[in-house]
Amino acid sequence: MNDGLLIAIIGAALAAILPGIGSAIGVQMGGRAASGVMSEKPELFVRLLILQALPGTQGIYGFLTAVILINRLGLLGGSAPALTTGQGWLFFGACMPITIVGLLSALYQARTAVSAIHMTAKQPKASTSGMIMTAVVETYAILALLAGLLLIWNIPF
Amino acid sequence: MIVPVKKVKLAVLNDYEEALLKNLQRYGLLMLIPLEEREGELPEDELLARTEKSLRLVREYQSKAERNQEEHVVAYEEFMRVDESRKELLMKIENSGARIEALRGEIKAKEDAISFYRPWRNLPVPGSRLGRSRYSVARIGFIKPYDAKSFAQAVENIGAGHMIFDRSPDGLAVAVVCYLEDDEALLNILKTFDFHEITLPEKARTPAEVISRIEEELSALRESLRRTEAELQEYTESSKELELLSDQLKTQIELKQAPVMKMPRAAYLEGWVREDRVDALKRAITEVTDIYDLDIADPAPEEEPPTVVENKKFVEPFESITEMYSLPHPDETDPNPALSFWYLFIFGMMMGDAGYGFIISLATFLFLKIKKPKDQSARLLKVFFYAGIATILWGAAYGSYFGFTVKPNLIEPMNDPLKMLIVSLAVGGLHIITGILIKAYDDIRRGRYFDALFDQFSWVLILAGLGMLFVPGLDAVGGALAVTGAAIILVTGGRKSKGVFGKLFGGLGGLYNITGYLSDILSYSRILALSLSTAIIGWVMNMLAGMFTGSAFGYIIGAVIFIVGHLFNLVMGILSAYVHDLRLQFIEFFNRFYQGGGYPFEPLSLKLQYVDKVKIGNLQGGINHE
Repeated sequence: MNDGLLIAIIGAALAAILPGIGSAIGVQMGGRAASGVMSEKPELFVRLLILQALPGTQGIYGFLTAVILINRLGLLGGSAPALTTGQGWLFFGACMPITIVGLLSALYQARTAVSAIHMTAKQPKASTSGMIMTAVVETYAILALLAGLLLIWNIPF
Repeated sequence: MIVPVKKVKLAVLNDYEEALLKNLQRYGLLMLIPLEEREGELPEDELLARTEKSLRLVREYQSKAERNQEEHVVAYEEFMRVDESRKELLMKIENSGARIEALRGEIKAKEDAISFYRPWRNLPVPGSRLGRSRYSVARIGFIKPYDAKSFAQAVENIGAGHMIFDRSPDGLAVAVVCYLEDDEALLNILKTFDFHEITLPEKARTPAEVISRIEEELSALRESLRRTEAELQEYTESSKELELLSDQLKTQIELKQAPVMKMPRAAYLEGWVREDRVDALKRAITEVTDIYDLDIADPAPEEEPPTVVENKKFVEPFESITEMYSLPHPDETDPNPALSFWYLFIFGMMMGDAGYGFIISLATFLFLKIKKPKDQSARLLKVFFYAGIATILWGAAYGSYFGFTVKPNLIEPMNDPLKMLIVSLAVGGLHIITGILIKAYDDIRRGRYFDALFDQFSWVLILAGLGMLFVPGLDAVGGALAVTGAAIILVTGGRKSKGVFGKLFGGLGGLYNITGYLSDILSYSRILALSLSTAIIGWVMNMLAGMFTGSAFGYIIGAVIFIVGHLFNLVMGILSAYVHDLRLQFIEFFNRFYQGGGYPFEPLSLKLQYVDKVKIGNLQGGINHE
């Protein structure tokens, strides 16, 4: 066991944990708003479900980052690589963009999704505009994901 | 393609007005322009509301098999025929419906009564024996259920009698009896147990007798409810008649509300007709009368004609995507052909797994064949059918089949992400250039050649040139192109500004737009992110499923993980690809050229909600209208 590996794995774990929590909270917010609307208009189920699911992707991005890091470290082959403490911190840092941006953007995207759900309740035809506006928030999670992945792939060790 | 529209002014003698409108409605050629506001209820409105209500009632008793019937096609003459028997049918259904409602109300009241008496069914005396008698007082009521033991104790202590019955939502049912002189003491005790007293309305019989009597009445009521419902069940076969009546009424209402100006001897109307249907319109009029005055002209510049969009079978479903954004303005280029290509191209890149593409296409194909959905849902499913095929093609290019990689392949997002990022951004650049070129085409069509050259082609040069900088061997050419483009903008960007200062520095402002173009192109990096997401989650699922293989039981668990995992990945992938592809079309692509803001061409026509098709017949002269 070495410190470098420990630090890198804490990074991977945080990438899987925090955006996952953010997405869970986000999907929950959307789900509550959608259930409220559905008590009056059950026919909107599919549109509302799509809006509810939108803040769920950050959790997937975090998971993705964790898997790619685990793969890069070669842990899937069953061997523990030797990392210096410095290298461990490098990988930890590479996990941070999606960890932080994923968590926060899921929460903010959920607020937009809730507004879009309320809009859909009043004007079902506007649901696509609501989807697009909600998806715009996700852009920054995607950019953070890509930045993190490019780092993980290119950190030398 | 956007079909041009002509303005129509038409006058006929009053005698022919109704027949003419009917004929126009039959063939659905003319969109009328509202002349004045019409208000007031028509008798048909009320009948329509009743028909809809009865239809909902009948549907409740209809089995699913009965509902999924074959296409409902009627001849035009049959569709327009007013049949009194349909109104009689409506009355019969309404009567049954009213009876069912009344019976249900009565049953509910009886059931409530039973649940009122139920806690007291073991009370051995009728209601008349409760209350004060010469020597004693008897009471029944509820206390809090958890106090039962101490209650019995307390009551016995003062020498009163009690009975404890069942629990009910109101509490624990109890009866107490005591001598008159103990009454005050008992009341005090009861107060500490939150006793609230009940009186029984039926005095002559014991609660058990009352319950059995109500139950007898209830079973009689249930029997007659069953009979009435069976009656209604027979009407479900005639629900088609009701559907026909409903559509017929809607068609009549539309006809009656048609905006026609009435003059002493003639009727005058204005409207829009498709340029390619002008002849058909003339024939539809002459079928009715030879005496008419018809004026057909191009729309005046200040007039806003409706938009008619007509595309080939392949492009047509994608109109629904554009409509979500906004209908095209009648004099701009229809974005649908370009949109259909790019939507599929980018969707395929984002999903990028041949196995998933196969499932999407197969599922939508089967749904379209078996369920035969109409209108919007059919169009959306067709979009996904094509998107599935695009996904198969890209999946083959990635060599990805249900998360397994098969060589040879062109590019692999997972193992060569940097190359994939460059491809994604290049696709974005081409997508945006397509938008700019459509704008340039519009400028040229309107004779604004300078705008096309200075504002549109200059950007194409810059974007293409910047792209070539990254291609070894072409970098010198690319640099030259980009510099030329930038120079054009720098010199001409301020040509529309007023004043020397504006003309000199307008070009700099124009060139500053480069930031907008670059951030738009960077936005296409989401293609890489989404393709990676599908590929890696699919790969993880395969790995998890693979861990269990070995024993027979393990294979079963592995298969379950494989199926559930890929289904999850498929659904999330479709959701992301659908939404993010739409975003790229609406924000990055449409931003470059699309104006929108048109309103749809909705001619006076038969209103078909339930009836699938009316055989309209041929217009004299041979144009076939379906």
